[in-house]
Amino acid sequence: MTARLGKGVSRLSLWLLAALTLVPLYFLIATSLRPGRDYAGDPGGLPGALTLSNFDRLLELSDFMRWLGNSLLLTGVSTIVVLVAATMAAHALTYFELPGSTVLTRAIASLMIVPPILLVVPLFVELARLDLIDSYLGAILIYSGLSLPFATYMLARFFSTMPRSVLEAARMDGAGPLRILPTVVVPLAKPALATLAVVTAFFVWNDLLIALVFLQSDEHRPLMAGLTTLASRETESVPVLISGVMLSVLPIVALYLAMQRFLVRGLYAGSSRGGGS
Amino acid sequence: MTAVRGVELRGVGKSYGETVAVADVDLRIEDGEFLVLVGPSGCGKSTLLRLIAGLEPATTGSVLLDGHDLAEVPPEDRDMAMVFQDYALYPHMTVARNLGFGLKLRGMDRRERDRRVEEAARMLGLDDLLDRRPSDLSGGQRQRVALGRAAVRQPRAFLMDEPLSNLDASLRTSMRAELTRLHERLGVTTVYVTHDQVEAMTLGTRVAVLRDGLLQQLATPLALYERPANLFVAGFVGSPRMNLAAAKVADGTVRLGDWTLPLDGAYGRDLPEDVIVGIRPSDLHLVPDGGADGRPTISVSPAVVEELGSERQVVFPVAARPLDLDGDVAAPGADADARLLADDHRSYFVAALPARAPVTADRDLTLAVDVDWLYLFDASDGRSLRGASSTTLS
Repeated sequence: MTARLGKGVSRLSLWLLAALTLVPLYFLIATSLRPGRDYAGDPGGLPGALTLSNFDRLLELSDFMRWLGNSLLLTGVSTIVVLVAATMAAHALTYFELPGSTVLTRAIASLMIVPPILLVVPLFVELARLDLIDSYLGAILIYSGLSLPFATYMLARFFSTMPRSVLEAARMDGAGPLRILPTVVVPLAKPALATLAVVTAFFVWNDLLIALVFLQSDEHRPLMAGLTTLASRETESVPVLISGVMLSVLPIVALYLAMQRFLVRGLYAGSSRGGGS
Repeated sequence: MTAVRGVELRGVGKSYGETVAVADVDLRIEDGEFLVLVGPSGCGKSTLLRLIAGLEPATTGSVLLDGHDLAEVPPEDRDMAMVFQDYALYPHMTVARNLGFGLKLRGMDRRERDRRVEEAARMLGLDDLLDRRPSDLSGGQRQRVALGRAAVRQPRAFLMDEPLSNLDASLRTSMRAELTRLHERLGVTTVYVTHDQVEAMTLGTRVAVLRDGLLQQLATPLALYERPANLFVAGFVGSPRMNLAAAKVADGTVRLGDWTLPLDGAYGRDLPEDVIVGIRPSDLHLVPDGGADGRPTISVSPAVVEELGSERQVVFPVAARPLDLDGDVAAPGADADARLLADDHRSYFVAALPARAPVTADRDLTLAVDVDWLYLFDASDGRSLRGASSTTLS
């Protein structure tokens, strides 16, 4: 009886904690659907009427679709660049067992502790010299560069846990070190690559610092920087802003949901005697 | 001049820093031969296989295939197929893709590839599993896929690294037969690593016994059993293992504890005084009612009688200095004394007697010794004094 009560209490507290994490999401959805006047009357209260007019107003007032396109471009290309470069670097670091590769992996990992804000001024000077300020290429280079240390370190750690014999079997089957990468290593690393894709996309999509400093024109501005400029212009209409935030969240949620199946699946099952069945 | 076909090792050695894994091995594996590398764990047999595969570079010496030095040839270009101890299947591929992966990498067209995959699948009874992933297979099925993956390529050589060690006993027996069939059918040169002497004896055309990275003897299974080159091989090959004990030679006889046994003509006159005597358990016989047929007899007091059904094994003490169970006896003195196993300074011998032999632990019995099969080893270096098989290397 006591055990059942204890179980009930712990389950209830877990439900409450889970519900708490959903409060901001509820606030986001509710506010984006409330008429401006309704919200102004009672910002924290329950919505009276529901409307989609905030979304219409957002599209009218701002360059939302262009910002969205910019964000998709920057996030997509940066993520692909990071995945490709980090995969190749991690493969080189782990597969070839070169002297000093462990030290190099650690040195790369240590770059993670440098805060991006410290790099802003030197990067600005360097990009100005290369005439890459306010260009997609400049921003993609920065995003990729900032993401690569973590990405390379994480993949190198993951690759080093792969069963060595599977890679050796591929070599005996006729795959050279480069052929092994796309045929065996990458398919086996899908969970790690999916995680990395989500983390990198999150970082680029949500970044404000680089976007505000390096992408100053409306033509190149991504979504988060755009919404920030909108916030400074549209102080009166919180629901319009929130509807923008609401829309900006959707692509990243979609990405997460698409990658989720890779995140939870253990692909190593069955390669050797111990795995699987 | 035509090149010698097969795999050849010339002075091959491998060291990891100060540790020597393989030392100066010379070995010729004939074309189509099934050679087994056997030895206790850590003896360097798997390293030797990996050196042949090219997965490890040799520190010294060279590996040749059909007369060509493979030093600069990476594993992927050696045209050898390997079966790993843990099978190492590609978990993200179906059985069919696992089997056909090597063929695809070699650019074989799809129709021929499918034909070979189906043929290998039929041969190994994998027809119904072609669309499954390795995670959906049992241990035995995975093992067969690993074999099929090697067989489908029809390579110049098969390298097998303890492929049966993870299977249960009955499956191991049937897979042994399968391997023999596969070898007979394909006729591909095979190098097979195992620590299991039964596998070595049943599968190998010839068997190479390794210890501490050194080749001890290379011979046919029967020659290894009948003419071991040294104490290590004598102790390693045969089950139950050969009875070994320190003894003294004098006037054409050998004194083993309280017993004096005559030596047959196989031994010359220049024998050292200190020897190790070896008697296979199967060469000790219960004296029948009619007498010992002229064979010398020993009277023993059984300590234990072990019932195996197919035979009865009698364990009895011998008043002689016991030896390390690894057959690692070498020099007498402090070193050897340290290896004394029994605190009563007595050795224990085993006699393998027929099923239902009338023996009990509480009754003394008389055993006849087959002196034709008495083995003598030099107590100083463990070398056989009988004259080992002609293919002995050490």
